[in-house]
Amino acid sequence: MSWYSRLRNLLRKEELDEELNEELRFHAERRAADLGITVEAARRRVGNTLRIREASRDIRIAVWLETVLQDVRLALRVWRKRPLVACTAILTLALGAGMNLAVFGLMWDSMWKPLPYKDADSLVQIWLDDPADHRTAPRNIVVDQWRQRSRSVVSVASYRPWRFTFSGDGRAPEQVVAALISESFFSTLGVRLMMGSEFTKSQVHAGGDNVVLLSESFWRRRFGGAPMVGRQVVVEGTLSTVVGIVSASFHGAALIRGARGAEPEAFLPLSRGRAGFSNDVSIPTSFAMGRLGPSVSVPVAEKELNAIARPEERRTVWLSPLADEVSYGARPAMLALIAATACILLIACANLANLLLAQTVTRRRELSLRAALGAGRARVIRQLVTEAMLLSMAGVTAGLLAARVFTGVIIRLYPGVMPRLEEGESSRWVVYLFAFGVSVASGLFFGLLPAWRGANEAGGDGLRVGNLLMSGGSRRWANALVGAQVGLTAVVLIGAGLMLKSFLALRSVDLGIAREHRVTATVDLPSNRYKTDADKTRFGSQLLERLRSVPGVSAAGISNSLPLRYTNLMNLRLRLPGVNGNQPIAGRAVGGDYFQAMGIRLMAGRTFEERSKTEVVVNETFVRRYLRGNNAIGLALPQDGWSLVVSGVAKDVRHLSMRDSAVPEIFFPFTMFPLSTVDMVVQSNLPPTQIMAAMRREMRAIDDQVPLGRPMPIEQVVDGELAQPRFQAVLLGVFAVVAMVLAAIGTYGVIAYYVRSRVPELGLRRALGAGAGDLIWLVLREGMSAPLIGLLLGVATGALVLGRFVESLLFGITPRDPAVFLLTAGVLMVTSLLACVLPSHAAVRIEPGVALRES
Amino acid sequence: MAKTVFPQGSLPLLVLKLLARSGPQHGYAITLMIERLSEDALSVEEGSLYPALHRLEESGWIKAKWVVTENNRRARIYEITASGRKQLEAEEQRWRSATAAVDRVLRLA
Repeated sequence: MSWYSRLRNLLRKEELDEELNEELRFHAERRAADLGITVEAARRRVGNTLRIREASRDIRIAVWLETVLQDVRLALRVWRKRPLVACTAILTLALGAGMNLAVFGLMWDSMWKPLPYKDADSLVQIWLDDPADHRTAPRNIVVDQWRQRSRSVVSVASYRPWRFTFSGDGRAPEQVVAALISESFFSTLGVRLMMGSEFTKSQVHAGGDNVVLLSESFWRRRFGGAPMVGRQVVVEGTLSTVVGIVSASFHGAALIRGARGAEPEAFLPLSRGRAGFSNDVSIPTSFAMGRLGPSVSVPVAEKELNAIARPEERRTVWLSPLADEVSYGARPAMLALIAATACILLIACANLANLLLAQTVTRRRELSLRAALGAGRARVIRQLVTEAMLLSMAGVTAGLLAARVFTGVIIRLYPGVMPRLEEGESSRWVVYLFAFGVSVASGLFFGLLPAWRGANEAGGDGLRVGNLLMSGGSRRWANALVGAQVGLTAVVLIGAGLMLKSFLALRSVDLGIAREHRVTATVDLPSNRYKTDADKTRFGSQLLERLRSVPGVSAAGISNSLPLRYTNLMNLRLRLPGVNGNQPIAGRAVGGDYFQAMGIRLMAGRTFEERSKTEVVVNETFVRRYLRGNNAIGLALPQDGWSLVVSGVAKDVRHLSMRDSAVPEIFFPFTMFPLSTVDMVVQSNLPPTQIMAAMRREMRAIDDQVPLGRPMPIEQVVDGELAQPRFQAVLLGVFAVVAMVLAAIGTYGVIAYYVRSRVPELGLRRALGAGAGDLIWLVLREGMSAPLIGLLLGVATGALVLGRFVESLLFGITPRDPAVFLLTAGVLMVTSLLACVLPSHAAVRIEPGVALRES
Repeated sequence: MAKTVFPQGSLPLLVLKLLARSGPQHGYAITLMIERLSEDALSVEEGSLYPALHRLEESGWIKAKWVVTENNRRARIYEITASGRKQLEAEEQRWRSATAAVDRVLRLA
């Protein structure tokens, strides 16, 4: 009986009972007719129907279990007799499945596990589709309208990452990672505060916004867990009432700050966010999210929000599941990694299929014997598949252990690259379920083909002694598997090569700044102590003077926004000669020897006078875009009521990220726009730790209530930028090497087997005068055809399909980078050749006499 | 007459043998044949034949199908399979040697 009908039997119990009843009824009626007794009497002779029915049903299930157990017992015996084959298979699978499970576990934890918020499925991020950016955050004023008028989105909240100085409680001041949030932020997420309550409507508007929420960990660390709700603390220089404590079980880092963010330690009302250059203008945009009403679909909500927003924002509102947005940045890399590990698993399975295929040939006598003794074809196949399943289960179980190790190594090597891992490991049942699925799938994958071939080999002349030759059919399959392996390896190698080359290109990209011997840091000036522009200007001048006077410092500069550090940038709109309308220009207010200290070359002209109220420096992109490359020095840029003069042109700097080229930028003297965020950069050949200590010392001397924030050498800043691409490149590289080794082993195994099984024939050829070269050529021709075809298919797949998936991860190269493709082809050719050359030498060493005797 | 009880495990062998000799049969006909051959040895509980039939079916030694009889009743008939015949051969052999051994012991004791 087939597995299928057996499974059906288990599921159609009633039908079986009905059949048995009918059978017994027939029996009783015939008996009654034969003996001339009543049907009732005949029925009594049949006996206890219920017991018969149960016995019959038990038998059906018991027999099935029995045969399964029998198969398993037999399989155990088979593998105990072949420990080498079994261990090879289990280790191969442990490696292949282990990597796959590790990446799957990381993906689950960072992308797919439910967000740690109530009914997270109905949470959405609200974006505007702007021509410049598909993901543009809406303006706060529009968010307020949605909050008031939307029916489909029952709760709306906005937020943005923030940072401020916590001081005034008698302890050392510290910079605090924070978030600015609107009213109903926590209620939208369905998070209950540990103590107190979140901001009310009146508390998120200027005037009533002297309130703060503390995180549980910050509260315990700074205040030792003392009762704080209702008490006042100094936040950014103003007294603010603590209205609540946010439990440590709340995780908002990935939501608010992205993958590399730390958990916010304090929450302030949105209205407390002021643009850096003016303490009066609050920041107009922040991220917005909402909770859809019960059974409201995304398109319906989008339509409604659009209708509400229309008059102000002539852009399209679109919604994205919040869970997708939280892991947005990590997604393409994780998908590339899981695809690579899936390829590894397939390659491992192909190896095992070939191993088992060779096994069925060496076991042909045993299989033939069993067939001759009455085991049907289906029975032989089932036995062989059971054997494979046993290996698969053992291998994947070992893989689960290996995955733990891999995951630990990956997380230790690349902390902060994947989002949401700080939420802690989720329940592992998904991983176990996935592992079970993987083991069944791979067991079938590498078990079915050899089993089917095995059943074929068992027929015919299998009982003949000493016949190690695979039938032509089996050999074709073995070659097909080798081809598939090499093809998959080619795809993984191409992917890894592209990623590696992108990483190298990115690492050596010209940032426009010097990377060595530079240390940066940031301070935030509390607004109560630095009220006026004069206060801030004085601070800036003082700081510059003190930094310059540190022995060993060759240059020092300040700015409101350092490259790659995402601090306060001025988004200016300036009027430019010959261009209609105000143009968006990124502005930086810099002071001291900023250009020298940062290593930014001036391509023309000179820097501005420190106290100048008109001179500015523009970057190369500005000149190219707005001045068509004409000489910019001395050019006047008249604005409404004032005028600027270009005194110099600075080399382009990749300020936003290493991937993005520069936008038009303009540098002002910091005295023109004194800011409350002061970034500093110091050039020195001294060790960074020494410089940082000096910076701290000088800061304390100027104002001991303003802490030095995030002191860091520029190398370290750049290194942080490279973490994600390095992670992708290194992991894919490792996976590619594993894939290649597995494929080489696979090719070698098949060719070696081919040579061994043809020793008599090769010996005969030798005896008949074939030279060493002839034999090597014979083996190579047999061995290389499958890898070559596989390589061609793999390269074609890489060229046609792969590009679309990895394009977003690449930098500075096309998805069809010829060097990567050529190198992949070369490397695979060489490894395949090596895999064939070793067995071919074995063929040459065959002694004709010995070989002929052997047959 | 006192009823003879079949030795343990002999019923499946008997059924296989009957089906091998007489071709496809339904359960009732098999019951009749066993009764005729063994003088009512089975008739304690006639139904006990059916679980035995189902075990043979599960093991793949016999197969069953539903047919319609001459008087338009549905009946389940059983037929021995190829592997059933091999099994019968092996079992018969085993049975013969075992009973022969028991016989020998009984005669000599």
